[in-house]
Amino acid sequence: MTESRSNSPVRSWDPQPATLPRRDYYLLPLISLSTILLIFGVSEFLTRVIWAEQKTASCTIIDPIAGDHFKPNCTVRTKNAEGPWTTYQYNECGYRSVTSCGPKPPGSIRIAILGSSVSQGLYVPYEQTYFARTSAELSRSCNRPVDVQNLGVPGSSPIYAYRRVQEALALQPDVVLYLLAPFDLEQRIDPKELAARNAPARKDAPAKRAVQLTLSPMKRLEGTLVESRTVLVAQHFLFQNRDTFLRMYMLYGDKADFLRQPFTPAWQQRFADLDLIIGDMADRLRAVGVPLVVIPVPSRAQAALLSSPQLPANIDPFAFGHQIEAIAAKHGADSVDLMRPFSNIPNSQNFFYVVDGHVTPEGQKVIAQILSQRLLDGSVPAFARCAPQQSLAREH
Amino acid sequence: MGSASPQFLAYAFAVILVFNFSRSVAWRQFALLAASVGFLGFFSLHPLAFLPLAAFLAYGFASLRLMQAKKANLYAPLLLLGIVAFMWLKKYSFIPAVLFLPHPYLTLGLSYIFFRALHLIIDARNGDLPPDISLLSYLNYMLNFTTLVSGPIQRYEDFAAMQLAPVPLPLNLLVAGEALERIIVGFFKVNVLSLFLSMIQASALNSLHDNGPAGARILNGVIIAAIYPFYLYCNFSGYIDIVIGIARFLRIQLPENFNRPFASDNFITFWSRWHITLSTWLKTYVYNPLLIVTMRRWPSPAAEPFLGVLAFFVTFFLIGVWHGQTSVFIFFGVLQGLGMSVTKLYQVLMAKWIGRKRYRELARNGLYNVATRGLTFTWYAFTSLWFWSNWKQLDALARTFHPGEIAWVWLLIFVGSSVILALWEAMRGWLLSFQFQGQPLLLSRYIRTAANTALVVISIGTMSLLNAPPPDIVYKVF
Repeated sequence: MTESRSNSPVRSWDPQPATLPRRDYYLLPLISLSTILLIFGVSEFLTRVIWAEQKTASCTIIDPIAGDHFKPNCTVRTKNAEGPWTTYQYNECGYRSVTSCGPKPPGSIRIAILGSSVSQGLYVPYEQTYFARTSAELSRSCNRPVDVQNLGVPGSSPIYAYRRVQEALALQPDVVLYLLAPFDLEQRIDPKELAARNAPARKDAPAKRAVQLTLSPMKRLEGTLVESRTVLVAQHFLFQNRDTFLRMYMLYGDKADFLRQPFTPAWQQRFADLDLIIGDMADRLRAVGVPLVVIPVPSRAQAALLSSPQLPANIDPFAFGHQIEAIAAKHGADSVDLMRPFSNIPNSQNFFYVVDGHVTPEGQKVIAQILSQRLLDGSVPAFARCAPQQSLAREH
Repeated sequence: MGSASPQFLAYAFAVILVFNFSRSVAWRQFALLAASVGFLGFFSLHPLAFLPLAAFLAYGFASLRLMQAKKANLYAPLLLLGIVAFMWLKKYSFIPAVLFLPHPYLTLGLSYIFFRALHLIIDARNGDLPPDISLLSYLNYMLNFTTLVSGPIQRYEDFAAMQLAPVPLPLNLLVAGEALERIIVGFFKVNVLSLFLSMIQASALNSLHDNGPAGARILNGVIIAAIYPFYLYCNFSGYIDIVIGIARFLRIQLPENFNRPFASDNFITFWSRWHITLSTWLKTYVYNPLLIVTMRRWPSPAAEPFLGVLAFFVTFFLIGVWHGQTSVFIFFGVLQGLGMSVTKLYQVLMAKWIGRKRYRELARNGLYNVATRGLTFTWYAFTSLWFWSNWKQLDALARTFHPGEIAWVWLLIFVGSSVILALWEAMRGWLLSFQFQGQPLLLSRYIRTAANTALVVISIGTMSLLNAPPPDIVYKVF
């Protein structure tokens, strides 16, 4: 071993030649840019293969008056990137139900469901939806068929749900369930539309499309990024971390204001609008002796807050549900509290698709258990006679 | 602030901008000192926390001046004072706890300051240093924020030649590109590779159950022991890459600290490729003087190789002891010393038994190299157990495995590392064999530009997706 006095570097820092060839001033940035594009291209391709998605509206009938609904006897198979392949089978009335919407079979109990995507069980195979599970559980407990006619349509605002009350009543249901999540109230109901909720005027249907065509380049870029599967997969992993998800979610203003107390004037207005709609809905159902059960479905953010060790100041994940329950109670409607049972389950945010936010099959199972239990507690007359049998079954 | 975090890089690039505002020596000295002091400010804002560090710096400067003033009689006491003060401030476990300072204080970089201080005192006494080392130059050398945390240990002459040169080192586009490349590669090593490797090791540790099947336990044992050297390499050499790149932007050329250590086919070569500046320092200030002293004491040509064996043991035992304050690091030092001295002894005896020529031929044999490379890695992985764990953890690990399983773990590591490292070397040679404009195609700036861009995208993507804090540098605690 020889003594080394100087730490002579292994590599030289004076590369030859001292200047770059002129072509490299263009070539090197171009290579860099191409590499970035290639990486994104390859990752977009791979994520589109691995996280396949197929969305089709081939069964949807666009109706700006009564709201969108589905073609009778139509079947469509779609897939959300985060969820399984799902077949949507619509019966002769265009409802997501495996049974006929014809006259209620003698001796059976019928449930009609109103609402949006959460009501419809979006991105969940039929047999795993909360309503299919609830139907099976109630049929077992009641020893007779419990038929579910699901009128839920994704994107359906409360006013459209209200406009289908008459259609629901035509099914002669024993109970009507109305599920709604915070995102169903994100868009404020047009005051004119609300005022004319019982006699809707024709809307200017093409107006929506005209707006889309005049999007700015930045908005179009934003739209492209939103549609990027790479971005979706990145968000999927990023938002699996509860704290990161909540931190990002809380950056939303109005969209997240349903969590903040006191409610902002905008959210107070939304609840006031909903109060009118649920009031009318309850009145019309009460007139024919059909009970209404309103079910506020939590969002992933609410569930994440439930398992958060410390709630941020002025944040109340229960506030949205309490408000809906208060509105329902005010109009003599029943309600089901999903939040309290969710708060007893650790990491209940895992019951939601991470980016999409809809309830997963596991979450549907929990909702079905809570809903079945609630309907069997005797408060809904149609199931009053089932409750003792249920208790009996448990005893045995 | 993490030592290889985006925040550290942001700070460094701000410093680079300010530093290169003027080429004057005064400006460069002032800017570097301000940057180093500012860097320390990230770790504590309490003046009391800096007092011990300041006192140690004062000791170093006073000792330097005394040696330059030819106060030779103070040489040994000053060295001893420095060693005792270092051990006291680092709270070595054999010192009674009542003697330690009661308030919390900063020891960041103290180990490296210690090496630099001893180098200055020893070389000043020998007259090997320039006579006019100013306080500003001294502080810049000691506190240079690019080398403060974990080295590399640069010699004062090399540092001063660049920092005090009237014309600073050139910083043209090519140099800047290479410096940036070092930063990118280092950032990727620390924030992606070492992060994933530590996650794999942690996962294997978590899934190590007493009642699991023996095969799974052995596999976990292999992963736990074999991953750590790669993790440490990525973590430490990545950090060194980053600071070498940053320093080059500051017109300072830092010495290399790693040179493909896992390509080494014996433990002596390994330590000449791993933490190079530390082993060079110890060779210069421990191994060589010790060898000279013992050879003077026992002046026999026959004894000389065996004195080298002894000097190796002492030197690398000290490397182990330097790494930590507890008995586990003493054992780590014993194992390092054993590895070095047994390798040296083997070389001496083999040369004696089969002759130098035949031994050289054997050392060039490909299959022999594959096996010795695997053995070198296996020994380092084994000794690393005393580096990353304590006696309690080691006891728990030993209880988890049956003796036969432990033998299987090390046998698999030896065979696996021999094969994998041989394949790696072969693949590297094959890839570098493709030439373009007289140099390996893989090293052309076009390929490197694409590769570095990919590393940036992957690093940013990984950090964003994992959303985990950047891993800190293992050697920061030493």
